[in-house]
Amino acid sequence: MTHIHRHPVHCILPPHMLEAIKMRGDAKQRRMAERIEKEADAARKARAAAAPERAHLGTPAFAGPAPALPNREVYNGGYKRELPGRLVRKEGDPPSRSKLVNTVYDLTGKVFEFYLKEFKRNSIDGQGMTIISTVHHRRKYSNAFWNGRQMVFGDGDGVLFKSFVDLSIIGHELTHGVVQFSGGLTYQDQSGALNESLADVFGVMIVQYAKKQTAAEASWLVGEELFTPEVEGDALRSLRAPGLAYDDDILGKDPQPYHMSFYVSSCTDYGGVHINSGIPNHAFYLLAQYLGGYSWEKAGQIWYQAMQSLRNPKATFADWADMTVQTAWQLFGAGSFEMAMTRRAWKLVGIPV
Amino acid sequence: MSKIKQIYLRTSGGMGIPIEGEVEIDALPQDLARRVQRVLAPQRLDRIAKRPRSSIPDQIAYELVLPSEQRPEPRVYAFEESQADDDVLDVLDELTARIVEATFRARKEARGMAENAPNPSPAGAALVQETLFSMPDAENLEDEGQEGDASL
Repeated sequence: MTHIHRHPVHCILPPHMLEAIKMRGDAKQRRMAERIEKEADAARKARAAAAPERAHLGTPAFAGPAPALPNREVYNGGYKRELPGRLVRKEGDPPSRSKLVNTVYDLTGKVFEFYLKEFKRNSIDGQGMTIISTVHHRRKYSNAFWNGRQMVFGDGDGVLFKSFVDLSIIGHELTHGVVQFSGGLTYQDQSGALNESLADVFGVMIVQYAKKQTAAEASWLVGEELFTPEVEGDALRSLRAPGLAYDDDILGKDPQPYHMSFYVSSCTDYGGVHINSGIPNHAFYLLAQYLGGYSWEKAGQIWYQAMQSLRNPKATFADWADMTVQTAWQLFGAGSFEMAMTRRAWKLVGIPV
Repeated sequence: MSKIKQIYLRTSGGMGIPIEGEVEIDALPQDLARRVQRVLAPQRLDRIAKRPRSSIPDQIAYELVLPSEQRPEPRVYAFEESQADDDVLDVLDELTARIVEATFRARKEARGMAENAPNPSPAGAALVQETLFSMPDAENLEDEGQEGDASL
């Protein structure tokens, strides 16, 4: 049996910080950074030998003495606006009488599992943060949102929208939290659209993970179960075909572009954050198709690690595209198929890298 | 203060899917019409719109346009869910529901009329077909482009 001894520091200091210490630190600090890098490299090699198919994943984002377990709390909003409402079920409680509460409890557990198993992330903040959800928010509320501390779900108006408790929506909202705790992306214009896109990308990946679907098998739809039969549309958004998710005389036509040539300058929706997210969404879809297999194994790893490395809340699409190509290079090597396909995906949505 | 006669409402409801439409206040039930006059008073909407904004992802944003007989330009208010008071949100929810209902009614009526319409003559049908197939379909072209992108 191989024991890997973790250095307490290399789990905390990211590679770019070690590079900075090596460049700008004094002799003692440089030696420390080099030693940590060597140890991290040895640990990576040991892990690669133990599980070669997961070797590209690199150093886990967290490491602690206690096992990472979910800590969930589901509240009943009582159709009011106040949050979080009345606590109905917390971690370890038996199922509640409310089917909706149990569904949220189970689905948030699935999202927690996805981030932990596939990205080594312990909850929303990487530190085991309690996952708080409120259902029955306001009356006939047709929306779901992340308010910086928790997720909130409406029941829908029953005319256009059903309940917003849906795995892709939970994955979407929880990912807004992950983005927030990964450096954040300002909710305006292109950085806001990237925030929305990351939420969509991880939302659909979680559905694919739960259904064990490959990129080729998946629907690539966000909110597939959300519309009532009255609405002429498949879902809120489509990563495969942005702009074609719905076409309804009440909701209008899906306004999402799939290419920079059709970028929408908008005064509403924080500069069109829910509209222009179609462009990076489609780039991710193309990459996942090119790389094949399960989307979270390669394309998802590139997107996740890029999110951790970005540290630019005002990032533009071009900044993000650069970061994903750089990450593909770091994870899979210069000139790798993965790196080439990442560049190609961006080129095809009009963002050459 | 002049009474509100008409409201044009736009919401970014449903995770960014906007719903918009016009509401004639005189056509509303009396109780709701009175609440609209009281709750959506311009001074109050002014105060709400000036409150600090938050950046809560996916929260609903509202845009209200109130035409006025005393001003050439309508009054325009834009604010987010987190800025508004409960009674304002309640009224806006009811107005949104009425916009959706009215559009549904109109759609059903239009479909009913289409179903009851007489079948086109064979010559007429041929003409429609010819027109359909000779017109470039922007939507299909767009779709084709995307499918093309997806294959190496």
